[in-house]
Amino acid sequence: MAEQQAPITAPIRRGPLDGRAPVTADGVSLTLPAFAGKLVLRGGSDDGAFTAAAAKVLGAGLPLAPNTAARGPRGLALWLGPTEWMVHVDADTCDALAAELTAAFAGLHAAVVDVSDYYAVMRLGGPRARDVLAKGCPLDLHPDRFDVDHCAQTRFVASAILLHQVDVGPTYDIQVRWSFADFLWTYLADAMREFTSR
Amino acid sequence: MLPIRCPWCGEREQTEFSYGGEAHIVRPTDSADLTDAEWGDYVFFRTNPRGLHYERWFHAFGCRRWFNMARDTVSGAIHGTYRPGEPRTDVPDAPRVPVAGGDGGEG
Ligand SMILES: [Zn+2]
Repeated sequence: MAEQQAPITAPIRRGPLDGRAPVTADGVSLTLPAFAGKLVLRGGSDDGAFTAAAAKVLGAGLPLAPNTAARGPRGLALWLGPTEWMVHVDADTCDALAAELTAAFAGLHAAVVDVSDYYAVMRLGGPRARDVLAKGCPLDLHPDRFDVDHCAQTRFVASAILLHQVDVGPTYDIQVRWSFADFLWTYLADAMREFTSR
Repeated sequence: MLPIRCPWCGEREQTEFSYGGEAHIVRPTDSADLTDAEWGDYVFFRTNPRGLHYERWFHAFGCRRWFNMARDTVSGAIHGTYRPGEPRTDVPDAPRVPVAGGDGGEG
C-alpha cells in the first residue's frame, strides 16, 4: 500500500507543456504564458438577460461581434460562436468566477463549464510570427483582416486551434487541445528553424 | 484554395468546413401514417441535381455552426450562404429542380 497522502486542498494547475524551454529564432519566439483558467460560457447573443448577467460578473460586456475578444477586469472573453464564449482567467480566481457566473445565470438558458485542463495555450510572438503561422494556418493574418483582439477558431495543420492576437508585435496566443499541445509546439518550433541564422 | 463564407465568421478556407448533404429536408410530422416507401424517400432519397443545389455545411474548425449554401454542382460556384431559418439565397437564373420535403424547414 502506498503511504497515506495528505488530502489535496487546492487544484493542481499544470499544463502539458510545463517545463519546456522557450524556443527563439530571428524575429520570432515561442513561449509558455502562465497557466490560465478557462471557462466556456453558453447563452444567446440575443438574450439580454444572459449578456447583462455575464457583463455584471465579468465587469465588461461579452464580445458580440464574431471573431473578436474583449478584455475585462476579471479576464479575457473570446467569441467562439453566436452562443459560445471562452473566458481566460487567472487560474487562482477561476473557481470563484465560475461560481459567480453560475449563480448569475440561475434561471437563464445559459451554462458555465470549466475547461481549464482540456486546453493548453502557447504564445508565438515577433515580426516573423505571421510567417510561422502561415505555414499551417489558412487564415489571412494581414493586419487589415486580423488585428489586436481579433480571435478565430481555425486550423493549424491537423489541429483545431483558437487564435488570439495579443498585441501588434504581433503576439499570438494559440489555444489547442491538451493532447495536441506537444504536436503543435514541436511543429511551430520546427517551422521557426528557417528563421534561425547561424 | 476554395473560400467559403460562413454566415458568422466570414470567408474561410474550405478545409475548415465539412459537407452535410441536402438542405431543407423536413421531417414528416405524420410519420406514423407514412408508407414504407414514403418514409424511405424521406430517409434515403435526395435530389442529386446537376446545377443548383441547396445543401448544408458545417464550420467544423471554426464556430461549429451549421448553415446552408446554394451551390452549382457542375461548376462548383457558390451562389450564397445563409443561416438556418433564413430564406434561401435566391438564384433566379439557375436551373430549378424540385426540392424534397416542401419549401420550408429549419435545417
Ligand atoms: Zn463560422
